[in-house]
Amino acid sequence: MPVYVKGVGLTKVSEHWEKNLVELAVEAAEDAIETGNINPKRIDKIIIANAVSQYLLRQSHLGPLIADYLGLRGIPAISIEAAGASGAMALHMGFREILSGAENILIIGVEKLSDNLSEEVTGAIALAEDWEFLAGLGITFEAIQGIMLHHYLNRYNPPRENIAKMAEISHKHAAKSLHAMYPFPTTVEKVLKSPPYADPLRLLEIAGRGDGAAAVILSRNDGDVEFLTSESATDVFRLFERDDILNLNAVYEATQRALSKHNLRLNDINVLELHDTSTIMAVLELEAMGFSERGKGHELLANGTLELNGKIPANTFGGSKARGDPIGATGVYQFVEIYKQLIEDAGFNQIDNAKVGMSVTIGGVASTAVINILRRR
Amino acid sequence: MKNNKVMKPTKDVAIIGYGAYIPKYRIANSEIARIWQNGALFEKNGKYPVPIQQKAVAARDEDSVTMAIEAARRAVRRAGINPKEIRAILLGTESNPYAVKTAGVTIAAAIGGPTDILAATYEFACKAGTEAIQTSIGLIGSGMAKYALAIGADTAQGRPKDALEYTAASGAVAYLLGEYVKGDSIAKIEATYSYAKDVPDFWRRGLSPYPNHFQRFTGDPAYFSLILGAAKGLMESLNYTSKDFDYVIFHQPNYKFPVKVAKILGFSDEQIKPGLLSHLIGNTYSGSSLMGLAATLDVAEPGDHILIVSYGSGSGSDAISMFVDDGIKTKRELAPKVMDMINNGITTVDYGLYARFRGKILK
Amino acid sequence: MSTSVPSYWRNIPVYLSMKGSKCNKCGAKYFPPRKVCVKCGSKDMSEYELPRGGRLIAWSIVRYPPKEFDEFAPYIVGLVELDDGLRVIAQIVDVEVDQLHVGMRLKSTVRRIYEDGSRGIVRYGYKFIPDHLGETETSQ
Repeated sequence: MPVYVKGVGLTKVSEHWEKNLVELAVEAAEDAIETGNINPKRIDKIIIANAVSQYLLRQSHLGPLIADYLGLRGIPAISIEAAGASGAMALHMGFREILSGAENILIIGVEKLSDNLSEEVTGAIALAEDWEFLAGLGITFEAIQGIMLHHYLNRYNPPRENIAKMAEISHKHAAKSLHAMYPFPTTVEKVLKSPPYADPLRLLEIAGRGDGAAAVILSRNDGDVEFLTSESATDVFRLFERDDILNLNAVYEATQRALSKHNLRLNDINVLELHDTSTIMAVLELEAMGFSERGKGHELLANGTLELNGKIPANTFGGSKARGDPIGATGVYQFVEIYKQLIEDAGFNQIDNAKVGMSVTIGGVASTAVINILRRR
Repeated sequence: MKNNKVMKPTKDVAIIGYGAYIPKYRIANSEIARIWQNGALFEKNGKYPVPIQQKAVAARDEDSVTMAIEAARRAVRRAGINPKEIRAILLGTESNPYAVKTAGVTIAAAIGGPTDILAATYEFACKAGTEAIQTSIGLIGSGMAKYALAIGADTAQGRPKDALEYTAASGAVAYLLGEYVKGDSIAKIEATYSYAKDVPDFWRRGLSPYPNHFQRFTGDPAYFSLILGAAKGLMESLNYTSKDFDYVIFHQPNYKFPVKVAKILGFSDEQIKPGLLSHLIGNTYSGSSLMGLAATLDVAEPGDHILIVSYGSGSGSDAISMFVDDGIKTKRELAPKVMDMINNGITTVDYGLYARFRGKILK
Repeated sequence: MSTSVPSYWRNIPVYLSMKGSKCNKCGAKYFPPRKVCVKCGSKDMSEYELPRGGRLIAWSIVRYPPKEFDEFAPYIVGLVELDDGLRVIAQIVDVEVDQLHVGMRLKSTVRRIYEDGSRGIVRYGYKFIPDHLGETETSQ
């Protein structure tokens, strides 16, 4: 029994000084309810995706809080957390709810990062990793990715520019997006000249930190776009305990299951959302999903494959680097952006004949991975 | 003149392991002088006339406990014993990270986790380390303990611009003691003698970050009086003169004092040379004379007669004499030597980085 | 929030001694220690102390840490493979970035991780330093 996408909404990713977390969530949700033409009373449940507000805002229990401000007091509501994969995971849970008999599920991914100091946000981002033997010893999430990039460069010796190109592509696509945090282009040279952040990673290779909310209404009632499949997997939690630190096994597992469930092949994917928490993660995701051989993912960045007119346009609204990465909301942004491509509402970034879109969303260094696939009817 | 003031254990006790640790960072005296404009800035032929050229500086993430752990691990390695059999871990320091919480248990956890232990921290300014050694001699010599670990470690602080800032340095030295086993020990303890009287030459009040001293009063009435008292006390009790020793080590708050007191007692340059390190690393406080002893053991031959005389402000002096045993030859090769640490992997820092490392910058 | 003392205390053998665990049935080794063998499922595990020596595999630099670590930044973090094959990620200290190379011989040591303000406890833990004096050359 198919699951359909009924309505979507999102806010710009930005430093929303004037709005708090709840207001952002409500804004996106009301957008989704309106575009979906849904009677809010027929929403069975609200699933909130949020990664770090317990830590940064001292606020848990977002389910009833947001339901209250949506004017839906009494409705079942829950907040789920899977670090950076929270948004995609909330959609995954919503997907399952529809399959179990629910009529309409409202998913809202929301995150507010600008209310805190940047070093506090760094600490919040590091919550996705093991505290006792990584974060608590001073190892940040960005530095873990730095280690992975260092190892990748050492093992495969790719042109450094190829890796940095992911940021250039993301920014190119964000330039014409209405909701991106950094809607302007950049170049590989600028990226590699930006200040070192977690060497060898540069500042402009790291996802943008911003506030934002995105919402989706999933329904069992007919819609133009079908939420085809949603698969997730986990991996060894601590990077150093993995057999190969460059193998995103959770991404591989989730992709294999998602594709095989509906007899899809990678060739069938017309539009892609990568979770570029840093440039190297996008490369490793491409390899784990199977779009390229191990060690050759960077070539896809360099040879135009991921451009709007390429074989697999990716991050068509800017990705985590340029659209921004409101941690728990990112997975929902990816979903909404694919949806917009499929219903030809992508404005300047519209690609032709987008029929099937796929997103990969990771929590931490892909200790969680979620693959969501949408298909136009 | 003979007196029986020396202390001797009833069972034979020996040093069965030793280990030293010196941080890799150094600051030149000329650099400190450059900032405060009060040191010997006068350069003669490219060299500064002050003998202490530089001092050892602990990194921001080091303290007396972390250094003590490194020294202890090296001592255990030289001794070749099962660390779980250590019955006492005694640390002498005047820069304890905690005013209340003894480091012996932390050091224990880092060297194999013995828990059948007595742990205590000693304070007697720069002679806290030799106090720990004497207690260890007592525990083993009385049959109460099989092995005891005595450590002198400090990340000494000098008040900015004060004379002591030029010399206050960081370092740690550990001595593992056990029953003397002929041929398999490093040095057999002969006797000890401690001499102490109330001389307030240098002190630190409870909440004060830096010590105080009364300048030239720290010389004759303090350092010289106590060291001469302790050295003579031991030597006369056992009917020795300076000729009866192969090596002697004195506490080294600077370069002049140990050289002068050696001369007064009749020791030659060759006798004090291997154990005189202050011109290379400064004054490591509770590690000072112990570091000199370690450097001496690094080069001594079996049968050598060694005398170490520490000094702790407040004041007191411990004299310990020992005979090097055959075990020294193999055991000393099992861990880095003091001169290796002094000559290898050194990084010189400027005053800014030094102030940052030593927490002297208000944040 | 104060740093958790019980949590630190439970990990003292791991932080100060790099204690891992070993499966008595199939021989698999783990760091940090585990109570159940991932490979064979056995609960018959023994304490196992990791060797002090290892080699550097890959590294990065933390320039923007959370505030507890601010006074130490920038600092190097690296993936280290110990002599028994186990891997760990930890800070690499007492070395300049340009001295690092893949395969560099390192030695584990105990250093301050951070202190909980002026009144809280001092957290100690393992870090790695270059083994330029060759202390880890000979096997135990």
